[in-house]
Amino acid sequence: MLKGKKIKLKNDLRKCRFEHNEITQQELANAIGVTRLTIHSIEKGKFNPSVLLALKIAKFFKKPVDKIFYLDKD
Amino acid sequence: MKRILKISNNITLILCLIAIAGFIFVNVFFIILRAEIIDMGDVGSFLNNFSIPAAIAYIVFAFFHLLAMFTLILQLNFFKRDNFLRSFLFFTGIISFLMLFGDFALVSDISKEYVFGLPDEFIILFISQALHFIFYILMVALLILTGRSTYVKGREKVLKDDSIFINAQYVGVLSGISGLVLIIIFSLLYSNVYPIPPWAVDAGIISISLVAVIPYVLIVLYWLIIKVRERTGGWYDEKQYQDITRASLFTIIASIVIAAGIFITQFFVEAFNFFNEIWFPFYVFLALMLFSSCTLYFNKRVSD
Repeated sequence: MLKGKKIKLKNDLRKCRFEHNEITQQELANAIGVTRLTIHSIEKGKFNPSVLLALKIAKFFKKPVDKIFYLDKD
Repeated sequence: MKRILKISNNITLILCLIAIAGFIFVNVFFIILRAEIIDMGDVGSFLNNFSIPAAIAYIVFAFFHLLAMFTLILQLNFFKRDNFLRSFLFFTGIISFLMLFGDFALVSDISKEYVFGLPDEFIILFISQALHFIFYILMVALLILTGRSTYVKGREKVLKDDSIFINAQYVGVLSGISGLVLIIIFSLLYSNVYPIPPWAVDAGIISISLVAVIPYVLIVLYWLIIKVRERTGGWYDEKQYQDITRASLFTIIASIVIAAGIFITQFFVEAFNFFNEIWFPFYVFLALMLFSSCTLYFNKRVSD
């Protein structure tokens, strides 16, 4: 079904941060043990996190992973 | 921490201004010394009169350099943001500190060789003075700029530091470029233009390589200390790991292509034979420059 199509991983991380008491990128980075630049890169769509990191982020926001990260077909 | 940084900033700034005054005195001393040698004046008594004040000035320079390094490390620790000027000063500060000892050796040689005419050591001595000058002036600028920044309130706590990672790459680029440029110029100059014995060329290349690589070794050691103290597990975070993996791949491909290009060129252009002398430091500095610049590129690409 997805063969031959360009698929991108998108996310609502920025929205989640704002819904979660408007926490900063640095606060989220500290909570899950990465650098601020990693969070910034994920939000900009320039870096795809590993499954482990995506699960850590989902756990932090108390949401299922697919509510934060989803596939986007061009 | 903030208080220590402010005190250290202020003391370094005062010592820096004193060092600049000393720098002017020492350079006037060198210029007059050079003129005395050209005019065949009484160089011996001139050296006797001014060598002790010049030596005292150099002790002040050494103290200033050590304090400046301490302040730069405090700043790296406090600001948690990468800053090219700070990395550049860390690099030039260490080279400038090492060159203080070089200056002593050069002046010692000059005081022995002046009877045979104007020694060539003056050229290296004035290049060294230019490096000191750049360090002092930029250090004043950084201290004034950061002196204001320490008054900003409400800094966020940073558990996993990424500024040291980026600063280490800046220093890696500077070490790589300066190492490459200096060993190529030195080797070309003393193998072809002003030939000196091969052992002296080797000794020069080893000394230059060590001087160029020391700032990188020191910042990597500092980075290791930071990582041990962080206790967050893992040397790199996920994105940094991906960046250095990509940079490593690019480095191995590009360095092999460049080395192969030089190897083939040597068969057709005789002037490239000087690479036989410097192949090892050349490859090390090339790899360091490529790796650090690629890591920086991949790491910074996000801010487009």
